[in-house]
Amino acid sequence: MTTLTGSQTPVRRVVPKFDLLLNQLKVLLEGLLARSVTVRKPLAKAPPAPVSVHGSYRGDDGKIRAFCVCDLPLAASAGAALGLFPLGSANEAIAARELPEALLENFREVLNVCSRLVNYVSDDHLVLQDVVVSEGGPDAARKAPAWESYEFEVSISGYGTGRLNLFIGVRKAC
Amino acid sequence: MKVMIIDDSRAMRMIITRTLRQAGFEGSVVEAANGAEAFQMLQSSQPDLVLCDWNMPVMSGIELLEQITANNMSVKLGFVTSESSPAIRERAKEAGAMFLISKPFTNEAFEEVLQMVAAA
Repeated sequence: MTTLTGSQTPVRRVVPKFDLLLNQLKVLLEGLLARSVTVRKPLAKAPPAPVSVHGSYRGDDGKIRAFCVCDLPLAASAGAALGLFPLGSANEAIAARELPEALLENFREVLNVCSRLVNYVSDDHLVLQDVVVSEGGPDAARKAPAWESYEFEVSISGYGTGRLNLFIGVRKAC
Repeated sequence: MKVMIIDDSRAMRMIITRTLRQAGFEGSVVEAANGAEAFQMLQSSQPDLVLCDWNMPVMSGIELLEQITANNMSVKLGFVTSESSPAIRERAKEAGAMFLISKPFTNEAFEEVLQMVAAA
């Protein structure tokens, strides 16, 4: 909490680093979900996700500058954990390959809080623009050089494990 | 004490309410989904404290605070938001916000706020 009465320590931008983002992601998710979260670099490439949830982030100029793409297991697990829904609700969504409205609404808030993560590595001020559920995993276009990409494996204690891909637009190419 | 929670996410309104209770708050809670809805409710609700998101459709949190100031209303308002940059904090302060709590937050952050409001 900040009372807004004292002076603020200037925040120094640092070069994006995987470990730095990993730690920030862990802190954000543990704070939001109020439970232990493990975040690590995936040991192997994941098979294409049949369903994923895409959060897009726009700058003050209205242009999309970042994406956060999560597979269904992570979106369902995080959505359920946030609302204190039983584990079964996440498992049912994963089995049905469909994210119910209640879990999607909760997961939207997870993506909203992840705006702090993308702001940490972006030179722009970014806010969550849209959240879309789509078939397949991250768009291949996001793997172009114009986007810096980071992939994490996230395990939420008491729920499940899934993948989170972060794509940050490289300023000159946007 | 009555607290108004303004956030376009129903899930976040629920989490803030839950965290307030965990922080020892025993009063009543009213909710609004955006600044415009909240502004309409302020006169009739008369909350002792307003906890407001920053980015919302229809009317943002900062627009609501500016509206409150323009109408000479006495409202204790603080932001609960994923925004955390120094520029946003400065803008909040200039507009007259009491505090800014960044999401994700802790029970302790709300305990501090409740103590601050009780002492004011």
